[in-house]
Amino acid sequence: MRIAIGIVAILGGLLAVSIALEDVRPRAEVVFAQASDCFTLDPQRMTYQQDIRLARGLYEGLVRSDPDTGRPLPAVARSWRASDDGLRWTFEIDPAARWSNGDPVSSLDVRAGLLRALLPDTAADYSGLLMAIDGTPEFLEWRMRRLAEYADRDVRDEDAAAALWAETEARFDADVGIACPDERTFELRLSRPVPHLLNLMGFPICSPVHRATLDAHTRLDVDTGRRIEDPGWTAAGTLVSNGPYVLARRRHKRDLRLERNPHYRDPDRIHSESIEAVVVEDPSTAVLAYVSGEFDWLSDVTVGYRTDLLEQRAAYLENHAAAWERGLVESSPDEALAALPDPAAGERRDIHAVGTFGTDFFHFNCRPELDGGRFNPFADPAVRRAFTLATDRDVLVERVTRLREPTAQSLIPPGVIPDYEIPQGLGFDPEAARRELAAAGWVDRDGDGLVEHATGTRFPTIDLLYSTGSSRWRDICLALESMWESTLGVEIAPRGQEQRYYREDLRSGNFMIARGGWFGDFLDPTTFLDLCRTGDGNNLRGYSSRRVDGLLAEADRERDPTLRFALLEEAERIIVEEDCPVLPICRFVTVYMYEPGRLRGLANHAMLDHDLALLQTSRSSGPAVRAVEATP
Amino acid sequence: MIGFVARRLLQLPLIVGLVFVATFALAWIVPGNPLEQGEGRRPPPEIERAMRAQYRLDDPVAFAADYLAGASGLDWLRGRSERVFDLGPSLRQRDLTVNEILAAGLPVSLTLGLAAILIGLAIGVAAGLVGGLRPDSPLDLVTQAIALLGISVPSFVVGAGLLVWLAVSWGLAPVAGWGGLSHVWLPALALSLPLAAYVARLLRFGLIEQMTSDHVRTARAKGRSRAGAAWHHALRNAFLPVLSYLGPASAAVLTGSFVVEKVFSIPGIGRHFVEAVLNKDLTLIMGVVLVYSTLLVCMNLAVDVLYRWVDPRIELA
Repeated sequence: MRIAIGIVAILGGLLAVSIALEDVRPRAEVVFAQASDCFTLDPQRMTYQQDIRLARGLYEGLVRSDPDTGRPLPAVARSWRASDDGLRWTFEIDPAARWSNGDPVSSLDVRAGLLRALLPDTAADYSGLLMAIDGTPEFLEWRMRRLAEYADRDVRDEDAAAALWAETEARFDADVGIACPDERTFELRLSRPVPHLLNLMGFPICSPVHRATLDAHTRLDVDTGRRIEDPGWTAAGTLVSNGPYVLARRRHKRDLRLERNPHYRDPDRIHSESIEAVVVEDPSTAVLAYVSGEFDWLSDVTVGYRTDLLEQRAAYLENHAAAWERGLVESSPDEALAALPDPAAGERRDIHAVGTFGTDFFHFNCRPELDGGRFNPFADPAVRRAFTLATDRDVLVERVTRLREPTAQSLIPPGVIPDYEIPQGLGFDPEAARRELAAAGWVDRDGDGLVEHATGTRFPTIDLLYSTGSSRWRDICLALESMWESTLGVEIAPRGQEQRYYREDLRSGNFMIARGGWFGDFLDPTTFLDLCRTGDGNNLRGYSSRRVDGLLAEADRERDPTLRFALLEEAERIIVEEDCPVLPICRFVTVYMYEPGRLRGLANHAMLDHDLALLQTSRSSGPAVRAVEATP
Repeated sequence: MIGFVARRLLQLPLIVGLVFVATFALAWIVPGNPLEQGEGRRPPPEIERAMRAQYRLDDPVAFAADYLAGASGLDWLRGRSERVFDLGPSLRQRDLTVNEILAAGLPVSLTLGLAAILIGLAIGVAAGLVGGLRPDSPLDLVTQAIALLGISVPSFVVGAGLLVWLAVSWGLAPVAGWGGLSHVWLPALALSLPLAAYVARLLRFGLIEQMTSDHVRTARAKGRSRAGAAWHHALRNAFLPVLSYLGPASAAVLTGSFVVEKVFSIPGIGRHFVEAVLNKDLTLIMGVVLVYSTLLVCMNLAVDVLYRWVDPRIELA
C-alpha cells in the first residue's frame, strides 16, 4: 500500500512540475478570440482570413489599405507612379522602412517575396492573383517543365541543383516584369492594365521577405531540384518582420502574441504595445469566456443563440431610439452606442452583425447534362430564372436565418466598390416565375399540382445539395423546398452532405442546385465576376456564356475606368438577370462581440481589413511616441 | 519478468505497424483534399500539381513507405533526418511539423490526463469504499446513482454544465484556455467523472465479493474490524478489476479527449484525432495514431506488470 501511495505522490509531483513550467505572461493590451488557429504565418502562402488579419500586424507591403475606405495608403513604398498606359509602375521605398532586427527594407526584399510567390516550389495558393505581371505565366510553366526534366535526369547532385537554381533566377530577372534598378526603387511591368494593382500590392502575398532569414532556412533538394524551405523561419524568435508588431510567442491551437516592433517606420501609428490572439474553437465556450471578460473582442460569434443576443441588441436600440439616431448623425456607430445609457436586463449593446464583402448564393448546374447523361432541366436559363423569381429572400433572412442579413439580388455586394453600380437582379415574383417555367415548356397538364413537359415527362425531382455541420444551410434548403414546391409545382429532395463529400460533389458537378458563397479578395468586380468565366477553376456551375466571356475580355483590355465598369456592370446584369447561373440570397454577415467604447480601432469597411496597429482598449498605453533606438 | 517485458516490447513495433497499415488504408480512401483551402478554394492547377508531387499525394505506397521510414527512425539511422522519429510536415498546418504539433499538445494532454486520473481515483476509490463496505445503505445508493449518471451523461453535457455553473456563475475558474492550476482543475474534473464512476462501481463489486469470501470471514471471526479486514485482506484483491480497467482508460485519458478539450478550449492532442481526419491531414492522422497506439500498448504492459505485484499468484508468461 505504501508503494501505491508513493506512485500517487510521484504522479502528483509530475503534475505540479508540468503546471509550474507553464509560460505565464501579463495580459496583453488587446486580447481577441478567433474560432480557429492561424494556418501559416508565411505571407506568401496564406489564404485564410485569420492568417491575413495577423499578417496585417506582422508585415507591411508596398502599400496598405485604409481600414475604413479600402483605398491604398503609402507603406513600405513612400510614393508610386504609373505610366500613362497603366502597364509600368514605379515604387519608391521609404528609407525609414526597417525590419524588426533593424535592417533596412530594400526593393530586393520585395522582389524576393514576389519570386517566392511565383515559384511552384512555394505552392502559393494566391499566385493566380499575380498573373498580370508580365511574363509570370510563362515563368511558372518554364520552372515546372525544368523541374520535371531535372527529375528525369540520370545525374542529380548538388552542382546540378545549384545550376538549375541559378538558371531560374536569371530567367526570372530576364523575363518577368519585376525589376530593382536600385535598393530604393521597385518597378513592375504588367501584361495588361490592372486597376486594382495597388490593392493587390497590399495583399500579404506581395509582402517583402527578410532574405537573410529565409536563405538560412532554404536548401536545394538534390532529388527534385526544388527549393525546400524549413517552415521554422516563421517561428517566434526567428521570424524577422517589418510590420508594426513582431511575433513574441506562438502556441499551436492556443494563442499568439504580438509585441511592438521597435524598428517600425511609423511608431506613432501603434496604439497598443501588445496584442494577443486566443484560439477558442467551441462557439459556446467563446461566448461564455467573452462574457466573463477574458477577451476584448470575439471575432466570430457562430453560436446558435446569437440571434437571441442580436434581438437583445435590437431591444436596447429600440428603447433608446431617439438618442441612438441623434448619436449616429454626429459620430460613428460605436461612439454613438457607447454614449447611450448602460443596457438594462435583457438588453445588450456588445454584439454587432457586420456586413462583409461576401455573398451567400446557390449554384445552378448549367451543364447540358448531369452525371451519366441524365437530363438536366437547369441547362435552360428560363428554368433558372423561374427558380430565382420564386425565391422569397425576405422570408429566408427574417424567419429562417433570423440574422436579418441584407438580401442580395446581385453577385457583388452593393456599395463596397466605389463607382460600381450593381444590377437590379430578379426579385420575388411568383407569377413571373410560373410564366418563365411555362415558357420553358413546364406546365401542370394533368392537374396533379406538378408540372410536366409536352411529351408527358414530369419535372425531375430536384437534387438540392447542401453541407451539414451547421444548421444554417439545412434550414434554408428546407424553406426553399416548400417555397419552390408550392410556387412552381416541382418536387425537391434536399441532400445534406458532410463538408468533404459536399465539396467533392460540387467539384464533380453531381448536383442540380447547391449551396455556395464567395468572398471578394480585392476591391474590383472581377473578384466575383471571374467565377462566371468559362473554364475558371472556381466556376463550379459549368456555366459558359460567350457574351459574358466577351464582356470580361473586353473589360480586361479597356483602359478607361468608367467604360470598364460599364462593361463589367453589363456582364453582371446578364449573370443575375438573364442567365442566372447563381441564385444570390443575401450578403454574408459576420457577428462580433465587443463593448463599444472599450475596444476601438476596428475597420468600418466591408473588407474587414482590421489594422491591428489601430486596436486599442482601456489597458492600452495609447498612441505612444516611444524613442526608437537609432539604427546604423 | 524481464523476459516477459522484453518480449512484449518486441511485439510493440508489430502491433503498431498493423495499426498503422489499417489506419492508413482507411485514411487514404476517405474523400477530401488536404490541400484545399477554406470554402473549397483551390490553388491554380499547376500549383496543386506541384504540391501533390512535393507531398507524394499521388502514390499511397510511396507516401506510406516514406512516412514509415521517417517515423520508425530508419531515416535517422541513415542520416536523412535530424529527428529520430520524424513524423513529417503537417499537410494542413503549413508552418508546423507533426512532431511540433504533438510536442505542443502532448504535455498539455498529459498534464490534464494526469490530473484527471488522480481526481478520478480519489473520487472513485472513496465512493467504491463507501459502497463496498456498506452495500445497500442509503449512502451506497446515492453514490451508485451518481456513478451511474457519471457513466451515462456525455462529457459535453457535464463539461458545459460545469463551465456555466462553476466558472461563469461562481467564477471559481477561468472559462477557457490553459495556464496555471486554476485552468486545470475544472476540465480535469469533467474528464475524471466517467473514470471515477467506473472505478467506484468496479471497486464496490470487488469489495462486496471479497468481503464475503472465506479468508475475510476468517479474519472477521478472529476479531478484525470491518475496516481492518477490508484494508488488510480485501482491498488488494478488490482492486484487480480496477487495475485492468485503468490501463486502457489511462491511455485514453492521457491522450486527451476531443470533447473536453473543445468545450474548455484546451490545446491538447485529443482534438487532432477528429480534426486531422476531417481535414484529411494524412501525416497528422498517422502521427496521433502512432502515439496513441504506442501509449496504449505500453499502458497495457504496465498494468500486466502491476498485476503481478498486486497478486503474486499471477504468472507472467
